Amino acid sequence: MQICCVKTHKVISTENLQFSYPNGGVQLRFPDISLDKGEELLILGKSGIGKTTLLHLLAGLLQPSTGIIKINGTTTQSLSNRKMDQFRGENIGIVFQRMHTIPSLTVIETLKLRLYLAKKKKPYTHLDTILKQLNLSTHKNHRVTELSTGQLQRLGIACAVIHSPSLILADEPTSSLDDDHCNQSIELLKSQAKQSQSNLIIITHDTRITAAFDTIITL
Amino acid sequence: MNIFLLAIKNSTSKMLSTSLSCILLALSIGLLLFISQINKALDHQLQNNFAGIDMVVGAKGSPLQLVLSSVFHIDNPTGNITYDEYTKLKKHPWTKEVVPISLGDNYNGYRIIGTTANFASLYKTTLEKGKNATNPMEVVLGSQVAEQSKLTLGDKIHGTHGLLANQEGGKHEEHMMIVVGIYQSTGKVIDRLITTPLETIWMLHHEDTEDGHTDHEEQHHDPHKEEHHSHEEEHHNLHEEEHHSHEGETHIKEVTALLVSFRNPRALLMLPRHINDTTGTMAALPKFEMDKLTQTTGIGTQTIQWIAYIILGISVLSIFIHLYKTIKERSYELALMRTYGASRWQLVQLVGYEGILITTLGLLLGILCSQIGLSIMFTVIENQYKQSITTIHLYIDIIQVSLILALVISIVILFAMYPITKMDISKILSHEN
Repeated sequence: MQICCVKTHKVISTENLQFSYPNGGVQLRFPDISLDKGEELLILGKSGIGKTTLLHLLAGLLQPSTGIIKINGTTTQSLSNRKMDQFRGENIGIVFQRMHTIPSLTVIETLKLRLYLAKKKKPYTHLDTILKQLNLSTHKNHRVTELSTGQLQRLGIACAVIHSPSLILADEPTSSLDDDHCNQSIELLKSQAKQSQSNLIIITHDTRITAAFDTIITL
Repeated sequence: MNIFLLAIKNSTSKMLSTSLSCILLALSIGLLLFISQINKALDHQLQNNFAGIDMVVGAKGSPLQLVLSSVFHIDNPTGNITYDEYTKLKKHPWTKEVVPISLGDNYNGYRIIGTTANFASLYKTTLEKGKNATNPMEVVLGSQVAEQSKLTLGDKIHGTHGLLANQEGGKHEEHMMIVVGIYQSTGKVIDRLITTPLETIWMLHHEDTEDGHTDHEEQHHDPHKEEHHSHEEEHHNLHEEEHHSHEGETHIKEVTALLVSFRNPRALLMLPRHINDTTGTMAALPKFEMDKLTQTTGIGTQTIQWIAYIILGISVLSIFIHLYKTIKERSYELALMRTYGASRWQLVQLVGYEGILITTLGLLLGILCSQIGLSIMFTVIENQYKQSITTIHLYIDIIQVSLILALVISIVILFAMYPITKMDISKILSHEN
């Protein structure tokens, strides 16, 4: 009998992840995560259970008190602040619940800034394609302050995927949307993640979207 | 898109706040440069025109007026003294050189000075064209007079009574003066004077006296004098007395003042006192009188300078508030940029660029304002006093102001950027969410 061992390359994995707030309050323990390339994950949890903290830990915005986070084989805790900033810029895209923008910029300038900070060069056609897919082409030269909430959310998605990151993290992307827009947003995120061959992790308390995911972790 | 472009975009998107900071800074820098240049230009002009003159001797009156009228040619003389005073002082062992001058006429506002050939050597100038005026009714023009009046050798001019243009005073229509020479440009007062032998003035005024017009009458009816020189009224009676004493003895040769340089420093202490105590004339020391004048006017310029420093302080504070507010108000934007991959250093750069942009704009605007102000001021001085003044080492002032500003703004930017170093991105993003 021939046994064939195929070692799959994990894009993201966590082990024994714990976080303590600096004031010495509650210590949060998080389940281990392990995703292969292109996999999607939904993390469900009630308010106050530490969903956003987990997202910030994965994005390297917070340091875990114990445990390991590996993204693309790099243990992110071992990186210096400067290197973490660079790593985050290149490998991670984050979609926030409410899209905050830089008011002095237009839509296209926002995307160009995103690419500049990620130190990635993409052809102008790539920007055009993303804007077309997200139905923002006609607004590319508009100031972000002129956009509607829906357009802002799509711009948020564009910012998260424009540099083709390994990992897209979305924090409560549907909590303030009605059912129709909720499904549209999730489809948009999933399709963009697929196109850029990124892993997608959505962290939410919104149970409406569970049907769209095969892998779900409940906190 | 890069950090610098983003800084420009951010600055222009808050036009009101940015403009206010720029204007305040420009105002203070403009004032500082303006005051510094005015001080330097006037000081340079004074030093330049002392021309080795240690003492001025003239009719009794205001010593400052005597110096202003005889050395700087911007005021009316205190009166006349006899030519004998010149011959006596010339023989004095402590005097190296004594140059007599006789005032009273002008050509289009340029003073005609009756003097000797030594006058030009006081200002270390030589003829550019023509020859020295050795005969009566011959004149040599200062470079500025020749240039502004478009006069050249062989041209004939009429002098007018009084020391100002368009003044009520008869023209010496019957006496044509001929231009025989033009001095080289010196940047000194001689550039705007017309020199002629003393005999020319004596000839003109001897005949005028016979016609019933004396120098003194001209002086007393000078409207400029009445308007601006109240101190002259104090000496009115003195002049009247002199005037009356001169009636009937019109052939006595007179000069307005004697420009004296000393042979040794002891003369500075002894000779002025000796003249003031023992003769009917007055001795004034130009450097002493101008020091007194600049001390008085210095209070004004110092006050303006302090006001400029206060405005500079306010503008620097406004830049600090602008930057600090920017960081506080845009904390989410800055946190967002960190999630995009921006380092702390890039955020520091962003805020720094905004500060530098405001400062550079304010500095350039301030230099421009000071240049416009100086150019207006110099034009007014040139038109009113026929003094051509230029900026002195302006670039040094600009470098000095820029260095001070760079130092202050660097400190301000460092303080304003402090919150960036303490920024908790996770907290900011969680709070906003």
